Order: sequence, then structure tokens, then C-alpha cells
Amino acid sequence: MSSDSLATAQTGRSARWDEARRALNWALLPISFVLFLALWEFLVRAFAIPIFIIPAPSRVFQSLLTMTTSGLLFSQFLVTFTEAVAGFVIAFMLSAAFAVLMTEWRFAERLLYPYFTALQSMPKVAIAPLIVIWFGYGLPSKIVVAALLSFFPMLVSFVEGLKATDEGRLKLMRAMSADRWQTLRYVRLPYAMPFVFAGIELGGLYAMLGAIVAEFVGASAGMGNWLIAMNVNLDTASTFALLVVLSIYGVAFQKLIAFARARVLFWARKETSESARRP
Amino acid sequence: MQLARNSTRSTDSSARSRLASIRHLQKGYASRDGHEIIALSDISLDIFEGELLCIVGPSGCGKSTLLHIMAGVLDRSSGDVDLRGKPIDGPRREIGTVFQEPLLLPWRTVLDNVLLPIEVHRLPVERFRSRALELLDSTGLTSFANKYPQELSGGMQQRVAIARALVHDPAILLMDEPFGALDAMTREQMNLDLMKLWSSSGKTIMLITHSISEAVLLGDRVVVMTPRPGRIAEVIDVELPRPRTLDITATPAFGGYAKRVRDHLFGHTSGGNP
Repeated sequence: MSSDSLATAQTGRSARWDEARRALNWALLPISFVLFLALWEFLVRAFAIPIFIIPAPSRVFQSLLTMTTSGLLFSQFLVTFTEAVAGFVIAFMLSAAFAVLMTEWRFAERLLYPYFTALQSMPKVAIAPLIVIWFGYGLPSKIVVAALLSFFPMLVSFVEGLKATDEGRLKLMRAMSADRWQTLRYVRLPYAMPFVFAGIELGGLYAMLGAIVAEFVGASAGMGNWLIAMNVNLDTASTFALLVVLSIYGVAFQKLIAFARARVLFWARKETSESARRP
Repeated sequence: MQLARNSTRSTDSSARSRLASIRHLQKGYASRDGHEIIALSDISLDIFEGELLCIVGPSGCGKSTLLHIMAGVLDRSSGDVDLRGKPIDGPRREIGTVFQEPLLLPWRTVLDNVLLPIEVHRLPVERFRSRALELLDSTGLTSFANKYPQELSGGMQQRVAIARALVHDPAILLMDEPFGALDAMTREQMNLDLMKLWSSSGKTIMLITHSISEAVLLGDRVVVMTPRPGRIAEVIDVELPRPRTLDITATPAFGGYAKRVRDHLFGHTSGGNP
């Protein structure tokens, strides 16, 4: 009887402890973030740091609020986002087409890959000024730089993915007298999907980077253009606000990809654990 | 040439009709140091309609190579291999193949995996759905039709692979050590189920194994192969009554057949290791 109550008391205590620990785990990030902001605010005020050097979080938030309510943030973000999406779509289609071409025909790989590696090793940000000269001040030059930056990481991932199907499944398809397109459609493309998602994630981030860099070089609108303008005005609070927006966008994009990946690749994780278990 | 074939047909003049024949098959390939390795040396063998033929031998005897050539996924160096009188020069739709691994596609349900050959052969999938379900039913997998392969055990996955190999009603079922990756008890159950499937479907089956008892238990005939170079040591007619159960493995007759196979394998290596 007494040992029984002792046991319940112990489990009760440990259950409460577990609950507390879980709550702490969940709240750890929000709490530390609030503390970080408070410390930042305090230090800026205590040492009277000029706003054009480092603005206090409250001032950054103020800028963010003004940008949002004026509608300027939305319209400028949309410009950059459109450029990035257009560049990404072009790069995606080109890299997918070249990846299939180079994995289906060894000849194409031998012919093209050296050129791609040469292009790849060139710092593409450095040729952004040239692109602006060639494609003008408007939208096209931004799209080209976005496409150029996102093309290579996607190409490399897709090529690797299309080579990822195991020899056994290829033999199975051959034994079924599948032609090369059926082999591509039924096994090689699905097996490439984990690599495709990795490529899309990298490519998406690079497309945004490309659009912003191209706007740095020369543009009349967009987040990059705005960042430069705010920097020239020494409006550091607004610069910080824009960086916050871009970070939030980056995190949201990665979450979106992770969500889509879990949906499409429901089989991938289980498959690896299953083959590891098999003798 | 034609004359020679006719004469061989008349010499194995049993009532059984020949489904496939292998004549003077030779397969060699270059090893890494440039030597030619002879995987198969002068293999001649007939496969008869409706029989369960087992090929047994140690690793390196070329039994798997032989099956891959039959399946049309590997070229031969010389000799003739034909099925229903037509040479096998590549994969044929009248052949169903089961490999050592189930090789299922993890993003397809069990039923869709079974129907894969139908899609690849561009046949109407709807018309074969009931046949696929029947095959799953006969292997006890009805309730798993809409599950994914990774939710199944290794033995169940291999049953799905067998159903997949049979869905388009091939003339011959080739099995390359199909139960080699399974544990011993699952393996025995799979042997019994395979015999049931074979006797109810009347399919011709050529099965490769490295297990002597599996070969004797299953086979109408057991082809014993020895390595370096891969060649046929003997073709044994196993005259054990059917239906066979695991009890038969304890009989003297079974032991006699097993010993006859074993003698070839150990006889061959007795010059070297024990």
C-alpha cells in the first residue's frame, strides 16, 4: 500500500517534471528571442548609439510598420519576387532538360559538361553589370541573373538524381522490356525526386539572391533597389526592416518546400529504413 | 543446323513438349586484369512445358548468368538460346522474372506494383486489375493491395514480386535465388506456396538456388552446375511424389537425391579445399 502510493507520487513528480521540460523546450526560442531584443534595445539606448549605425529594435519595427501600411513594401517585394520566380522557372526548365539530355546520352554529357563546369566556376555575381548592359535596366536583366544563379545548383542536383536509381531496378525495367522513356518515367524520375527537391530549395534561394544583386547593379524598383536607396540615405532602420522581411521570406520558402517534400516523398524515409533493416 | 536440332529433339523423345532450349551456350567476359573469364562453358539444356526446373550450384558457377541470359538482359558470347522456337536476343514479354531482391517501387501501392508490367507493355490496366487481385489473393495478400511495399515484410514483398512477374501471363517464370534473402522459416513457407502456385497455374518455372534441399524439394529436375568454368555436371530427375510437403525432406529418397547433388559439388572442390 505504502509502496504503491510512493510509486504514484514518484510518477506524479516525474510527469510534472516532464511536462515542465516540454513547455520549456517549446518556449525556449521565443523567450531567448525576446531577451535578445530587450538586450539590443537596452544597449542601443544605454550607449546612445546613433540610429544610422545600429537602430534599436523598436525603430526597426516602426520602419517596418510604415513600409507595410504605405503599401510600398508589398509592391516592391512583388517586383523582386516576380523577377525571382520568372528566373527560377526558366532555370528549372533548362536545368531539367539538360539533366535529362546529359543522363540519357553520354555524348551530350561529354560535350556539354565541360562548358557547364567552366561557367559554374565563374563568379556569376561579377557578371551582373554586364547582364544589365546587355538586357537593360528593366525586368529582363534581373530575370537573367536570377536564372543564371539558380541554374547550376539545380542542374547538378538533377543530374545526380537521375543517376541515383539502383542497378537492380534498372535491370528489372530492362527485363520487362521497358524502353528508355518508360525507364525514365517509371523509375529514374521518381528516384530523382529527393535530389530535385534539394535542387529546388537551393535554386529558389539563389533566384531571389540573383534578382536582388541585379537590382543593386541598376534598377528602378524592387527590394535591392530600395536597399541601396535606404543605404545611401543612411536610413539604417529601414535597411534592417528590409533584411528582416527577406529573412522571413527565406524561412517561409524553406518551410513550404519541406511541406511539399513530405507530401511528395512520403516513401523516401521509410524506404531507407526498410532497406537498412533487411539482411 | 536445322537437321541437328531435329535429331536432338527426337533423342529426348519423351511426351513432354519443349518450351525453351539452350544449345552450346558460352559466356565469357574480360576480368579487370584483361584475362578472359569463362562464366558459362558449353551449356546445353532443354526446358519443358509445365516443369519446375531447379538449377543449383555454388556461387561463381554461372547459374545467375544463365538466368540473366534467359531473361534477355545479358548477351551471350556464342551458342543458341530460344523460347518457343524464337531466339532470345533481348527481353521478351513471354518471360516473367523474379530477382533475389523484390525490387518494388516504394511510391506505388502493392496493386500498382503488380500492374507495372501491364503499364510497361501498354496493355489496358483496367482489364488486368481483376487478374492482379486474383494473384494477390492466391498469395494471401488481398488485404495489402492498397498498402505500400515498405509496410510489408520481406517475404510478403517477394510474394508481390512473384505476382508482378506473373500478371501478364508469361510462358515461363524465371526466378533468381528468389528466397535467398529470407529467413529459413519464411523460406520454407515460400517453397510450399510456390509449389502450390506452380501446380495450380501450370506455369513453367526455372528457379536458381544455392540450396541443395530447396532444389530437391521443388524440382522436377535438378540441374547441378559446377564453377570454373561454369558447366552442367548432371541433370537429375527427381522422382519424388507430389504434392510434396516438408516431411519429404526426412525420407531416404530425398536424402539420396541431396547426396547425389552434394557429391558433384564437393567432388569438384575436393582437389583443393575440403
